[in-house]
Amino acid sequence: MPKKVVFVLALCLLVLSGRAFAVAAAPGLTELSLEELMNVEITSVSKTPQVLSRTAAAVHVISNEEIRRSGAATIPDLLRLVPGVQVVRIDANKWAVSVRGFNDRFTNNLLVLMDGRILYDPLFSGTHWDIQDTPFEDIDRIEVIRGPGGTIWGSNAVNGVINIITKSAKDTQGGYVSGGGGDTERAFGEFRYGGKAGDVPFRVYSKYTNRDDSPQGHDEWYAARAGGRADWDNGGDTRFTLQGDGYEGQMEATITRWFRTAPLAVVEDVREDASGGNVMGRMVREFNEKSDLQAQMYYDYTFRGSAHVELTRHTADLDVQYRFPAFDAQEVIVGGGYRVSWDETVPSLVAPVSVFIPADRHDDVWSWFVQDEITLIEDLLTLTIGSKFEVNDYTGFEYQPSASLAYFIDDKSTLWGSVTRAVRVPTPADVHSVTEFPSLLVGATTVTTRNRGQDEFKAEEIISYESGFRTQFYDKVSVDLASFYSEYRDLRTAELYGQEILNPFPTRLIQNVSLENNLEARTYGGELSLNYFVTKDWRLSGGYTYLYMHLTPGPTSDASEGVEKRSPRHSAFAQSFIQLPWNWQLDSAIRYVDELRGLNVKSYVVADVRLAWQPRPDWELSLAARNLFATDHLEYIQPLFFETFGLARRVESSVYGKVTVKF
Amino acid sequence: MAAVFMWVMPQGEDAFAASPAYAETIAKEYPLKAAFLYNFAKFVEWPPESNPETQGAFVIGIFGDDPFGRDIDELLGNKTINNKKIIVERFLSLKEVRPCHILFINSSEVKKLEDILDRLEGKSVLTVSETSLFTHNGGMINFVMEDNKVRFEINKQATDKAGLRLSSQLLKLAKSVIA
Repeated sequence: MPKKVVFVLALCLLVLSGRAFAVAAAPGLTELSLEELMNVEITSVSKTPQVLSRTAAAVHVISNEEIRRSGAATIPDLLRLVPGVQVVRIDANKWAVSVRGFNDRFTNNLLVLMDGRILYDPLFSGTHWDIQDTPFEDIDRIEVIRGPGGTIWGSNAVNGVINIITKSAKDTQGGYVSGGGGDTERAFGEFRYGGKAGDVPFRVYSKYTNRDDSPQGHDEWYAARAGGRADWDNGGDTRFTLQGDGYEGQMEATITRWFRTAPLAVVEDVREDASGGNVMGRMVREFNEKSDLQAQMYYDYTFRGSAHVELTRHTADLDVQYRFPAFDAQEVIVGGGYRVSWDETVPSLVAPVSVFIPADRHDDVWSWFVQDEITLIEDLLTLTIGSKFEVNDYTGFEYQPSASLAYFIDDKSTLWGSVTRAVRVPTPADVHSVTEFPSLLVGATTVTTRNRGQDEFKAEEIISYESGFRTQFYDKVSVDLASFYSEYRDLRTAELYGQEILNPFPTRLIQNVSLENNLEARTYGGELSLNYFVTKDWRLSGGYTYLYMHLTPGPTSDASEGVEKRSPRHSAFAQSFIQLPWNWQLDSAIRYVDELRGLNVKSYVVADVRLAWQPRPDWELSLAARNLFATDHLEYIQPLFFETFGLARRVESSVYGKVTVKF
Repeated sequence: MAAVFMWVMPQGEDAFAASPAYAETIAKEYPLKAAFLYNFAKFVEWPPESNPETQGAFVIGIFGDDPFGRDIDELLGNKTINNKKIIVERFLSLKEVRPCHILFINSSEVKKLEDILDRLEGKSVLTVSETSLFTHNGGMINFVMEDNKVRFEINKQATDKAGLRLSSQLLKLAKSVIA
């Protein structure tokens, strides 16, 4: 019998036995040459393998090696080299990171996760990039999904999702110590030890970073953390993970304190602190290649003592999902989750600004989702439809459906399109807060803006239409192009209401502002990502992002217009990774970011370079220089807000050295 | 409130699995490593008359817990190396270890490496593992992961000492070679 017929027959049998992929794919492996084998990727867990190039979404992955070779020292700095992501450093310990526009320190439409645990802080309406960190060596990869990931990921994944995934304990056996320092990165150190307790692989780690002030700033800071993870299985079909960590940090900030009498305002340097911890358990039971049950539970504690308000938050979260095949060509995933959180807010004694009413809250959210991936034509056309449903304490029932179509032109090229509706559910800040911050000082008159959340505050909505194309040529070049058009409704605005006179002399006026949903927006743009494997030892990559935003605020809305001018219209980067003889590596990147007209921030071009040498396989010495060329540039000015109060903090060139020893 | 359904691992991992867009193929880890072992066999020359105990078969031994499972038998069971049929044997304890052509040592057993090497003294056995510094401690080929791809390191001193001849192509593809 001809070989092909045997193969097809075998395939049929295997399909019937429900184990199509794994076994059918496996015999092919021995037909591959050694070079070809070296290009095969493995799934980090033994589940249905899916090639990223087939995903019907704009996804970018930063691998562990790219993380190490980027020379970046913080997670926001790593994200600068992802198309479609806007990263700005506001001062030495504050960043704004967003996807596809609306960049601000309080970016509330980007969901950030670490191993599935939410890092986004709803009280703060953003992610504390200063305190969210982990040893880079143990990060397996960072996945960035641009566009609404609502169907699967849930609320706040309006513009994108960033998921930081750490390695399994099995892959971090052995120990390492690394440390170093420089001008901006004053001192840092990491330690990890991976071993086995009986049969159970585990690791423990700790990390410390201490960073210098920005030029003119008083914003030095440190952060310290320690944690661990264990992964094991029952010898059969069930795997378990237990992990957790704790952290603590202190950041200097410049704030303005306001008084009702002279001197009215004092600019002061203060020290803020943050701490937290979490523990997570996860179980995966695999019934067969196409079916499994997963459950995850975590508890997270967060404390943030800012000069204006102290936030404490406890969160418990349980999620379950079940995946199974249906009919002939469908793969269904259903899931549900419950999340409860307790918040406490205490006006700070230093410079009280925000008050949450009530000060203590308890919120819970129930959610469900269903997704069906339907193979319309085998190896040619796949339709995925699904929706997320949830019930929350603010807006009640919310639904977030999506549909996407993937067309596999050939093994190496995919064309995809999707339509998604997602929402951002209000946070306590939108609904229950009263924030007072003096916004004007004219002679002896202070004007205090009083921001008030509204019970009627609605969920913000996005409907996004996306399409993309991925292909590769001669195994050397890969191209990933994505485009989008999005319509936003009911975005948050600040509406001005009447003024009150509180104190005739010195005159103290209160400007009442209420938070409402009076902004509509349209955005469109695209991202291009390229990879060129020039030789085995040299790789080039690059990206270009175009973003157009048009906002239509309501007639009485204040301050919302500038938003569209706070994100760059063009940005681009190019990167080179060179493996030199005698175990040297030379890696470099050049980045361009367009001007931010709304903030009068000019465009800039900077370069990062890293040189590393491995005298022995278990030793690495490296030297990284960052932000070259533009020795002193401005990336952002946080719009008038009580904290940094429009202070511009520049970013300067920096250099640091690092030694890593494995044992 | 951030009502978020966790699209967690491993489904989450897989949905956007590990593979950057340039990935060509994707596979499970151990079938892939089994295919590497098969390729190593093709690029290594054993001295004539070595391993007479194996009685005309090409034996791949697995010491310690077997991460390959039945996959390796299915993959390599009907393959031959130099007209020798491949046989996979499992050794659970040091005493059971018998001479073979390739010995895969589970990382949990690497601490016994010296004893294993003593036991194999004078035999031509290609030792393979996946533990950091394996090649520095006398092992011959070590798998390392890089970007979810399999790479390997070679200790040529050890293979030379055991009388194994490695093709230059194999050495060229290695991530590092101790010469």
